[in-house]
Amino acid sequence: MSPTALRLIGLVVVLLGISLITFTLNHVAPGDKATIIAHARFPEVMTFSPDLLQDIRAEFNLDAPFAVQYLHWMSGILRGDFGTSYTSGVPVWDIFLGSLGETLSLTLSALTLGLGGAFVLAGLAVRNPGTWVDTVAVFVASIGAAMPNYWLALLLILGVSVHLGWLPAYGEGTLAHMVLPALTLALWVMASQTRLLRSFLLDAYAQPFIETLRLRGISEREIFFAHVVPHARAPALTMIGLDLAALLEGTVIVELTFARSGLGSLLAGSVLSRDLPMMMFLVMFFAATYVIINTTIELLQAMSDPRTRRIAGRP
Amino acid sequence: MPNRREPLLQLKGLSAEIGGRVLLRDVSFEVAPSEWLAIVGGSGAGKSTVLRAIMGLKRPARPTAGDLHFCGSHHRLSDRAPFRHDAMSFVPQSPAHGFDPLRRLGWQVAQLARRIKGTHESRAELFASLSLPDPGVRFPHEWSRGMQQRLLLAMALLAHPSLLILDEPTSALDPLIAAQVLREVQRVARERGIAVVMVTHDLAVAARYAEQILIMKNGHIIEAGQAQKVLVHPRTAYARELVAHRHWHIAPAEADRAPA
Amino acid sequence: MPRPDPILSLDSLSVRIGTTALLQDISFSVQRGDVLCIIGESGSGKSTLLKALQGLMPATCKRFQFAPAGIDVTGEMSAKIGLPKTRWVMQDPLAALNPRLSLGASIAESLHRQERAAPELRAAVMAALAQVELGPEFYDRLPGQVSLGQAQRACLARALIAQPDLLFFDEPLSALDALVQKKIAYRMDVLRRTTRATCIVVTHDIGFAESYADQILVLRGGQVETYQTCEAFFAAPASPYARDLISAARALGALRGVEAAE
Repeated sequence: MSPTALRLIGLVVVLLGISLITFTLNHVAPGDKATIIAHARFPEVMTFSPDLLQDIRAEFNLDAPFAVQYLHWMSGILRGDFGTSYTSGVPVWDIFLGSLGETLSLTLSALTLGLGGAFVLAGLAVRNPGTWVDTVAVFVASIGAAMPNYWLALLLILGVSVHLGWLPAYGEGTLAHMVLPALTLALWVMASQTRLLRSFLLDAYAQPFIETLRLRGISEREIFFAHVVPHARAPALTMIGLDLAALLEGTVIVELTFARSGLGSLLAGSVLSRDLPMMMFLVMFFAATYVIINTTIELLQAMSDPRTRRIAGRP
Repeated sequence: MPNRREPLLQLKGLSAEIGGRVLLRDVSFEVAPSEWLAIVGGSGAGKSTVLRAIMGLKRPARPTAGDLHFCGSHHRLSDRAPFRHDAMSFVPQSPAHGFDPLRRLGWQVAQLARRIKGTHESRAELFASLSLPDPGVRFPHEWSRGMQQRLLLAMALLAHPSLLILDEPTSALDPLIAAQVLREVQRVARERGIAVVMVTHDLAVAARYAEQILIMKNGHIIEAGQAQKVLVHPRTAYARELVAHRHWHIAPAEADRAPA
Repeated sequence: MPRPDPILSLDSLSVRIGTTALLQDISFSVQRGDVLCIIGESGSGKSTLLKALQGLMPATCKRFQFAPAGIDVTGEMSAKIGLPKTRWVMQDPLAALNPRLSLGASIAESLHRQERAAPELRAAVMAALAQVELGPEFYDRLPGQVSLGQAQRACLARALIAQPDLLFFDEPLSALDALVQKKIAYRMDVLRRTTRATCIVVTHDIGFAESYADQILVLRGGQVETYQTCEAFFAAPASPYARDLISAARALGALRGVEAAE
């Protein structure tokens, strides 16, 4: 069996495992599920009749054994039915689509800004070793890595919004609202990636053929872009993929801190209100994103290195 | 032995340091056209630092004094500006030292060809003379190490050099490949009247190929002269030791007690 | 050239991983006190063979006997991992020594199975250091504080202190300077004559084999290319490839009686 096919099978196994774990955790959590759903549906009502609760149990199959509930949910997924939110009665998929854009634009702009900054800073640092640029890069990276992103968010709100009054502290809708949350995530990405990129670039510079290129009179600029960067790319991509989990977690915190709608605040809300279908879907989505992106990166890397590529474009 | 002609390369008083630590002290030598010079010494003797300095590199060791005359031009080695001559070509010690594994061989040859000023010889003829096919779109790992190493030699010859520089040609290669490459270097150097400066830790290899031998220890030259003279009448204790131990078989009486 | 009572004999060892055969039908035998040199280029299977003898590779054989440890295996080699009464010396002494452990402590670790009083252990380590021509001052040095050659001597002492019947050397000299190589090789030879330990040396250096080997086994592409006594190998190499190896060694000035003259 080809390594690619094995990877894809592994991906399915991982997703099944995650769904089972999440479902189990929710199942064993304390509290009567029917009462929770009733509370969500009728927030103004304090007590519920046994008949209503019985109806809810019947509607959501709550009395069925665990395995039946799980398989029922799973068969829905396979048919493309992700369930209906307990709290709003709206299909999970529709709520998800409504929030996806917010989160996507936030994370993508943060990734672009953060990775761009990290590349420039790390590149300047390794091409000027021992100078102040190098020192600044290491300093920024260490400070950034030591600072939790909720704290960085609060600092930015305090400085930029409260003291300077340049940008809104929370909310959404305009580009101005987006700047601080994106900056918070971007600074965090930049800090963690600068440190790693710098060491990957230094490793690439340490390869024996680099000196031969210098002796052949190849310019430092060409050595950096044509030889050093491609060698640092593979390990850097791996680390970015692994850091993705932290970035998704950061999205939850930043969206809550800046009171933005998005998948992160949606997930936090669904956990607090025990909205099982919503929560299951989001957990699965985050896990699938993480696993799919990391698998893609691994496959891309195997393709991009001629030594591991299976069948190169032979002439 | 050839009479001394106008030297092709003349190095006078090279000293170098790295972070305040002296690596080379007052190293001077000459290389005549089409002459083979071997610089012999153990690790840390400063052999490679000499090579880097005459090839114009200022890092990691920084030359603090010294003058280099090569092919009619003069360089003060303590100047900060790096320099390089197409007429001085470097043969790396192994394919790992010579090729970027992620780039196609043809691309890497073209990259070098772009760098060389003026005319360079027909690549096809050059490759054929070293029994190499056109590297084209092949990646380094798709060729045997022997072919890769011959290609490195071909690339060094691309700019019509008058001096080839070999860095430890025997230590990173299998003996079959090392011997083949040294024979090829010997052949082309004779055919084209190219001089060779070879750095090696192995006096036996130096004795086999070089006309002149320099022995270095702790950053300076302790012995220099025609190969036969150095091998037959070594003056210093270290040179005598190297000569006595140049072959694997050592008569018990010869074996020195000093630990390595 | 099998002689009676070998200390180690191997019949038809093969190693395959998946569908690729790394080694095929390797057979040899060594007498007590003999040196067998296994020669071959990178990728010929030299190191794989050493690992297979230790049961570290999925190997099979018709028969494998190692008398000092009473081992007699047929079929799966990996049934038993590790060969008792043997020691290894590796190519890179700095990789083989714990950088945070003094040379003395590293050497003493080789005796971990024997319960010995501290003063007695120290005396044994000192004696082992002396055997490899290292002074007592090396006892407390760390690997980073000595030269590569001295570190390799310490590795040799670590192997010898256990008084093994068989020593495996995996390119023991190729990381060292030519001068150091030759001094250590000479010392190795003196020690194996005094201890009567058998040596299996993986090397690509024909010059070393010419001076120190009793038998030479040339591996090529995972198969035995030639298997001859040292004298026979140099007098009448059994294959064109072996002849090429000898002529390459001659071209590198590594053989006796070849001098500059060019």
